[in-house]
Order: sequence, then C-alpha cells, then structure tokens
Amino acid sequence: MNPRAGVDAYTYLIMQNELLIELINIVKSYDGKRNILNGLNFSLQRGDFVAILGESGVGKSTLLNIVGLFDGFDSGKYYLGGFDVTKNHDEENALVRNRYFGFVFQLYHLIPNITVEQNITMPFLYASAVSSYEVMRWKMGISKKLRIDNLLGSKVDMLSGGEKQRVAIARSLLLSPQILIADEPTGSLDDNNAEIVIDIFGEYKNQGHSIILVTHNKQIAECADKVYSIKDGVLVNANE
Amino acid sequence: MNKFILYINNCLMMVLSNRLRLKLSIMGVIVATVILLAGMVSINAFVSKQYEKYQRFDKDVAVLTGSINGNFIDSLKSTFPEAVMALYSDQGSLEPYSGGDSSPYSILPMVHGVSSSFLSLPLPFDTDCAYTATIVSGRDISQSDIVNKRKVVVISEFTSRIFFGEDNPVGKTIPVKLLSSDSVEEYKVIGVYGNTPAEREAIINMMTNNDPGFNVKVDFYVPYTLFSSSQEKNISTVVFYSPQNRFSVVEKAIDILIKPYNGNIVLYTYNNRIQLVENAQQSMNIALAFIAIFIIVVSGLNMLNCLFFSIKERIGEIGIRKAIGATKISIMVQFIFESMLITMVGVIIGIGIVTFLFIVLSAFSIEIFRAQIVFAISKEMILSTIIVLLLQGVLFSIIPARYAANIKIVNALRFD
Ligand SMILES: Nc1ncnc2c1ncn2[C@@H]1O[C@H](COP(=O)(O)OP(=O)(O)OP(=O)(O)O)[C@@H](O)[C@H]1O
Ligand SMILES: [Mg+2]
Repeated sequence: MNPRAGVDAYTYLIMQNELLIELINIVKSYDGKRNILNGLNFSLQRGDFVAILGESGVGKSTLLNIVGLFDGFDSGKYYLGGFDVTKNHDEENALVRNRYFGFVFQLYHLIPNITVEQNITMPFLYASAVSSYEVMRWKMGISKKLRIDNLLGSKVDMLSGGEKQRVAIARSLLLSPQILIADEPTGSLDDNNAEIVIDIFGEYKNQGHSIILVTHNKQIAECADKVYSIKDGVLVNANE
Repeated sequence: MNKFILYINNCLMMVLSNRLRLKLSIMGVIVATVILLAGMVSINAFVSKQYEKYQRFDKDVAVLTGSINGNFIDSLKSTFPEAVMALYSDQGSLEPYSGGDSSPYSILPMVHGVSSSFLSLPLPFDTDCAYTATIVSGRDISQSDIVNKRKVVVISEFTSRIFFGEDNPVGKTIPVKLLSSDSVEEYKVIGVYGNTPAEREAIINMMTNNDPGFNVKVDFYVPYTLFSSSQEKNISTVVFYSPQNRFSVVEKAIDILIKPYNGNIVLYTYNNRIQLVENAQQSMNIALAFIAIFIIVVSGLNMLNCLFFSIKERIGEIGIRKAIGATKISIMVQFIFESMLITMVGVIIGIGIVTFLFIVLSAFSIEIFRAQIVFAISKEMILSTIIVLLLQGVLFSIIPARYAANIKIVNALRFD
C-alpha cells in the first residue's frame, strides 16, 4: 500500500472522529519479564489536555513512545482516529508522526551543529503539501511567542537548557500538529518561561488541538482537563 | 526559502560538522580522481603522440629490415615484378666525430649504402617509420654512381648545418670511414634532402641539451656498392613500393613471404604500426581499468568506513529525524546525498590538481620528456571521472545509509 494514501485516510478519520486515540489493554515489556505497562487503557478526545504524573521509572515515557508510534507493544490495540495502527508499516508511521504529532522530548533532543532555525524547521523537511512561505511565517510567529526569535541564527550547542527546551517546543508546534506530546516540557524552565509555555499550551488547546503532557509540575497539571498517573502499569485517575 | 535549498543547506551543515569524516573521505576521493584522470590523460597523450608519429608513415610503402639475403630479394622481385625497391645496407655507428671547437656535441655518423634512386622512395632510417624526403639541393645518387662505386654522399639539411653551417655543401667533402676500410676517406657531397621529422626533433633536442657527452646522430647515404663486392649479402633494409597492387594485398603477400624467416625479417607498414598502437592503447586501458577498480574499491571502502563512524556518532540525530517524521527512505537519501556532496568536492579538487599538473607537464614537456607532448584533458574524461566517482559515492553509502535508516527511534533517542 502506498503509505501516503494511508496517511490521507487518517486525515479523513482524524477530521471525522472526536476520539483521536484509543489504547486498549496495552502490555509493554522491554526484557520480556517485567511488564512496564500492564493492560493499560487510555483515550484522547479532540481538544483534550491530558496530564500524566507518576514517579520516575513507572513508564510515562514508555507510554508516550507508544502513543507517538516510536515503539511497538507486546499486546493490546491502538486506534488512531478509529483506525487500527497496530500493524502499520514503518514508513506509514513516519508520515503520520510528521503530520499529526508534535513532540517535545524529556531531553530536548535537538540536533547539534546546526542552527536554531534549522532545528525549528526540521519537520518541514519531511512534510508534504506545506508551502515554505507558510512555514517561514509560522516559524517567526512561534519563535516570537517563545522569545527565541533573536536566537534563530545561533548554533544549538551554545544555548542554555531553558532556551533549548523552548526551541524544542517551537519545533514541535511548527506544523500545528493535531496532537502534541510533551515529556516534561517545563522541567528545565524557570517560572517565568514555564508560564509562557503554559500559556502557549492553553492557547493551543483552545484552537482545538489535543495535548498529552507528562509533568511533575502540579501547577501545569492543574491546567489540564484530566490528570492521570501510572501505577503498576496502568493509568489511574490522579485525583482519586 | 525554498525547501530544496533548506535541504541542501541542512546536508551541508551536517557534512561540515563532521570534519574528520569530511577530510578522510575527501582524501580518498581526491586520490582516486587523480589516479583515474591522470591515467586517462597520460594514456591519451602517449597514444596521440604515437599516432602523430605514424601519421607520417607513407601509407603504401613497406619497410623490411633484418637479415635480408639475395634469395629473399629475388622472391620479392618475382612476386612483384612491377615493384620499386630501394635497398639499404647499414654500417652502424663508427667512431664519433668530435664536433670541434664550435660544437659541444659528439657527432655519431650512420653510413647507409643505398641502391639506385633511393630518394624516390621514403627514407626508412627514422626509428620505425618511413618518411618521404625530397632533394632540396644537388642531386640523388645515380645508377652510374653505384656502378662506378663513386665516393659520393647525400646528407640532410640538418647534417649539412652541422658540418658546413650556412654554406652550400654541394661539391664540398666530408670525411667518411667505412667499416670495411681502415682509413678515413673524403666523400663528395652531391645532394641535400629536407629534414625528416626525426631530424626536426633532433634539432629541438640539441637546443635543450647542453650535456657535453650528448651524441648527435647524422646519416650519410652512399652507393651500396662501396660497402663490399657481394652487395646483396649486406642488405639490412628494403623499402618497397608496388604501384600496381592494392597495398593491403601487398602487405598480406609480404607477410607470407617473411613467414619462413621466423621473425628474422620484420615488416613495417603504416597499418601494422597503427595496429601496434591500438593494441598498446587497449592493453593500457585494460590495465587502467583494473587499477581504477582497485582504487575505487579502496576509496569506496574508506568512504563506507567514515560514514559508518559518522552514523555511530549521529545516532541521536537519526532518532530525532525519524521521530519528527523522516521516513527510512529520506534518512537513506540524506546520507547518500551527503556522500555525493563530499564526492563532488573531492572530485573537483582532484580535477584541479590534475589540470594544474598537466598544464605544467605540457609547458615543460621538452625539458622533461625531450619531446613536445600535449597532455589534453577532454570533457569526456572529466565527465566519466565524475560519473564513476559519484557512482562510487552512492554505491558505498548504501550499506551504511540502510543501517542508519533501520535504527530504532527509541534506542536512538536513548543514545542522544
Ligand atoms: N529501551 C529500553 N530498554 C530497556 N528498558 C527500558 C527502556 N526504556 C525504558 N526502560 C525501562 O522501563 C522503565 C520505564 O521507563 P520510562 O522511561 O518509561 O520511565 P519514566 O516514567 O519516563 O521515568 P522518568 O520520570 O524518570 O522519565 C524504566 O525502569 C526503564 O529502565
Ligand atoms: Mg521519562
């Protein structure tokens, strides 16, 4: 099957369905002995802002990796826009990631040696049907908001941790993905910058996008519609 | 900004950020380019020089040398009754003349005994090539000179200049010593012929060589009856021209006639000289092809190695690219494209080096090679070098690029 045709099918499904993501009974183990996720269920509606809490090592990043189609799982089902992606081809997943997901990683994960601008526009290199004019406009808008517009020409290596994190956020939002996945995006930010990021996320959600966020920051968690935590490999409502 | 420009810019930055890979790979490509291109240029220069030389070979003349005896000449005459032949018997280098005070060179004469009207046929004593020469002053050796064993000599303009300077040599005498006699005798110059190409080259040689031990070869043509009484026993060279037959037929017939002599008689014709050059060209090309394959593989493996190291260092980057939507194919394309960029830089530097080298060699070819050699680099050579090396760049990047494309995102991101 032509992977692009597959992706176009998702466009339809993601536009039509209010239920964007549904994970059913996911089991994930790295070593075949210990199940990090053990029958986990999760769903994400259009416009949802979901926060996930949990101690270190409980499998928060593992869950995000599965949701972001970086990693497979041992058993269970994953529906994206109502479409079973369990048996998707790698190439298809790559295109889906590019078009529907934005990622902010726990450890920034920027490409060193190249400029901030090149990092921010990187998703555009792998996107189709996006005009470069638009991308340049979005890039400017986002970098202004995140106060990194003066850093666009700098090499990434030269930035502080907080600046790097904001660059990573700018990159994740470049193509306005339907679903934003963020793994502790405010971990290395001071209060002031954390505030900016929270504002951006709020604005983003109000535009009808969905956010899945892993955080230790209670203040951010409060902005979320739903707050979960992972316990014994399953999601539980954090407020209970 | 255009996406393509963005992409190229991105690749460039990635290539530039890994200096070690860049330098090592480029060095390999430069070496391969230089060897490949220099090989092609040299073969071409050598071959064109040979072709140029044999272009002067008269196309309907056969030259036979070796231990030629009367029987052989008789069989030639009976096979081709209409043929015109000039018979030469050589007496190798005698004691060299000192060039005297005016000349720093030793003069090494070669005395050729000739049969009748030798100048109506080309002169064969120019390496392995026969050239037409014409009398520019005086006359040719005549039948009566031969019959009467007159001590007369025909020389070239070049020889005349060495012995007589600007003066007209006809009527003057030159000291000649034959192997068969113990004494030096004075021979009368009766004619002068225009310089052969070999003599023109000798002039260039003399102008550029000031080494006092340098020998200048000159030719004396005298009636062959002076050499010995049993004339035809000493024939060493026959120049043969058959006016009535197609030359290809003549050539085949002579080939058959010399067969029984088991290589003691050698036939020189325009065709078989050109054939020789073509064969030489072919074997040199084959040799170059083998060297090229070897060099390409070595430089390619070097490239592959460098790319593997580079990929190991860039696992994090690969993970990030895949995470934000790079497909396997775009990862492969990126690395192959980077290799092509590196290859192009190396090839351009290599072409620059070779061009410079051969401009210098062409300019000083007389000093270096004692001959005017033009080393020409053609568009085809440059194009084929570029294509071969780009192919190498692509081919040897496929395996590392595939490896990069198949890296799992989760593992790659843990690396970063
Ligand atoms: N690729 C992997 N191979 C093997 N084990 C892994 C791998 N990734 C994660 N783990 C293990 O799985 C468990 C869950 O890891 P995960 O990264 O999901 O934790 P986390 O909840 O994100 O923790 P933190 O808050 O520290 O980021 C950990 O015990 C970790 O050691
Ligand atoms: Mg984590």
